[in-house]
Amino acid sequence: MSLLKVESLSKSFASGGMWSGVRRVTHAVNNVSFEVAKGETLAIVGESGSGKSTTARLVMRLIEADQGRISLLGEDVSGLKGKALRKKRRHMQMVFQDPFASLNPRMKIVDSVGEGLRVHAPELNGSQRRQKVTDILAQCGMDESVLERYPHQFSGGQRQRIGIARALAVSPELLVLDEPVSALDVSVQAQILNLLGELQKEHQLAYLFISHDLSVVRHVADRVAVMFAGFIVEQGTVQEVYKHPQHPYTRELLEARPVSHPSKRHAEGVEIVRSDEGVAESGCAFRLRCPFAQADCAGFDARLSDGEHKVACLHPL
Amino acid sequence: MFVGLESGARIRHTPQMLKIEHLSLAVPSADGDKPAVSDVSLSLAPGHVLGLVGESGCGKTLTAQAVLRLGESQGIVRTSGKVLLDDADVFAMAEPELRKVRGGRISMIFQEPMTALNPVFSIGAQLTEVIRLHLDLDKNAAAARAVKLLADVGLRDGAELLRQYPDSLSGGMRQRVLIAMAMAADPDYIIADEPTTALDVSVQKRIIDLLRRLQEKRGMGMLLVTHDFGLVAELCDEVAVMYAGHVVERGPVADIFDYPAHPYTRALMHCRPDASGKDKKLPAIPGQVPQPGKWPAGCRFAARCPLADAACKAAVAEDAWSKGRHLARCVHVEKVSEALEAFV
Repeated sequence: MSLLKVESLSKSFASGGMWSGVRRVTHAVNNVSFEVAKGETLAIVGESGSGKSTTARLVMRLIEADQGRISLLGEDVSGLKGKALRKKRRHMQMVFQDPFASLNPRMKIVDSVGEGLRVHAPELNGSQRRQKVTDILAQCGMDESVLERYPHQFSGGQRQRIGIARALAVSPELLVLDEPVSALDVSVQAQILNLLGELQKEHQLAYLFISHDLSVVRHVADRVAVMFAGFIVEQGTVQEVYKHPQHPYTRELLEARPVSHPSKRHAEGVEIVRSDEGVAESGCAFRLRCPFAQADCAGFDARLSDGEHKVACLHPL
Repeated sequence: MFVGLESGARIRHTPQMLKIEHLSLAVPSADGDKPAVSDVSLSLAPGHVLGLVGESGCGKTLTAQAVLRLGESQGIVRTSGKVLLDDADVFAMAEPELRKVRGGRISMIFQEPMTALNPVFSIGAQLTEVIRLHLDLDKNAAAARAVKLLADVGLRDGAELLRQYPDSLSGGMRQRVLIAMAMAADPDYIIADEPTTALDVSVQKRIIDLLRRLQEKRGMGMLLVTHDFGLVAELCDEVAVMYAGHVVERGPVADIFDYPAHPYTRALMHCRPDASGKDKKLPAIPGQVPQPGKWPAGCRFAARCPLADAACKAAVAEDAWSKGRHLARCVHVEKVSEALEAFV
């Protein structure tokens, strides 16, 4: 049984209409399915507007899905509300990109990190709670001196450690991490990635890791799902997807990354990315800029193939 | 070199090196001015791309902005040093002269294409304003040049685009418009401050290719400010690495990649996540960058450096030749290669 199972999740947003009278519907997440097992990291990678963050928010039930099912530990949580939902949140916690925005600036660190414990472990008294918070912060590399301080007194990397401690305080099984290192400098990024690795091993945590950064994903993930325009276009183990990408979009993303050494620059005239726009409204969303597109792509239902390495493409590479 | 210059345009002379000499800057704070950039010397030749790379707070953006004296409105002061354009100190220029340099001889591309354009003016109004500010062209000629500039940056249907407003363009298109604007007066130098940081990888790739193409075709010198060694690898001929207000290493790009001589450069290159896999720890740099005003007397990287000893804490090393053909500000430059071979 997987820890988290997401089936056919869809969400659309309506926009516009205030002045122009034209209302547009954006299908942010389209029929998305995946599973995350205990102790495993599934990364969702994609560019802005691909629907990766919306997917994270849907899983956390921060926004309501139009369709689909979310099961946590074998139990359907998609319909839960109020107290029942809050109870389930003990099992899944979220870490945000900007830890400064996710910590209350007027709350001391001890209270921010301990907030979840008030709800989920009401049996603890004040000093027990404080002890627990101290322990969690220590695991995240922060000592006792931080307890009485406020978020603005910390650097970005330290705040992200506090954000992770806050999520871990209620002993969840799943962490949903939305671009957790994107706002950090590379040297600090490495510290946080190492910390996430240690914590995962120690607590058998499952991670749903949302990122636009293919190098970070390659380092942290066991499996990866590539999203484009709300669809998962490819899903498989990191080794398979990076070595043998089957969807033309995945290959484009991998090749568009900056080179690692000046001697590896692409020769002039080699066009890796053919166009910066064009999401098709029907059929395969990528077909307008796909070098391998054929007539039948217009009628494709974007269904993922079966098996370990799945791809949603009529003419895979 | 004279591509895109129509009649009536400014007569160009041969540009010389753009030089920054021993520049130090201070930023205002509640307890007085704090040093933010110290003793930075760089030179950029026409037709070359120099990367200025470092983490946030290292002073790379302040240094780049000082070339056009852009920090002055925020109270940033030059405490010593010069910026020389054709042997004239930019800091000694009077306002009218400075205005001609800004956007004329040297132009700038910023990180945020969303905020750098004014949402209430059309693309055409903003683009022709820059053109007419620097070139003696009438309205129609300026509009024609605008369409040509848009075509140069890969935007077709320029005439239609001129009537549109920034909010109807994607991030990649806005950045192209800003690049077109920067090219308006055929500058000798361009300063690009994290030009692709806000963009997706696939759009970033196209903007990188565009910048390289324009820079080569027009023979411009480019100062590229970035935190990303990948961008340096893609675009630069030379690179200067900054840490806590100092340039700690500089030299030809291939040399720096092959023989990084400063422990910081070396650590920064190795802590990028790569294909080493999930169970391998990244060689992270412990601790954090010291804040401006809290710099130690000696080497500013010493507190985080695996090679640091008493000599490092005593004094800041003068630039020393290292193994390649480049300069590194480290007293242990001789032992860095062997010692760090074991470390990373």
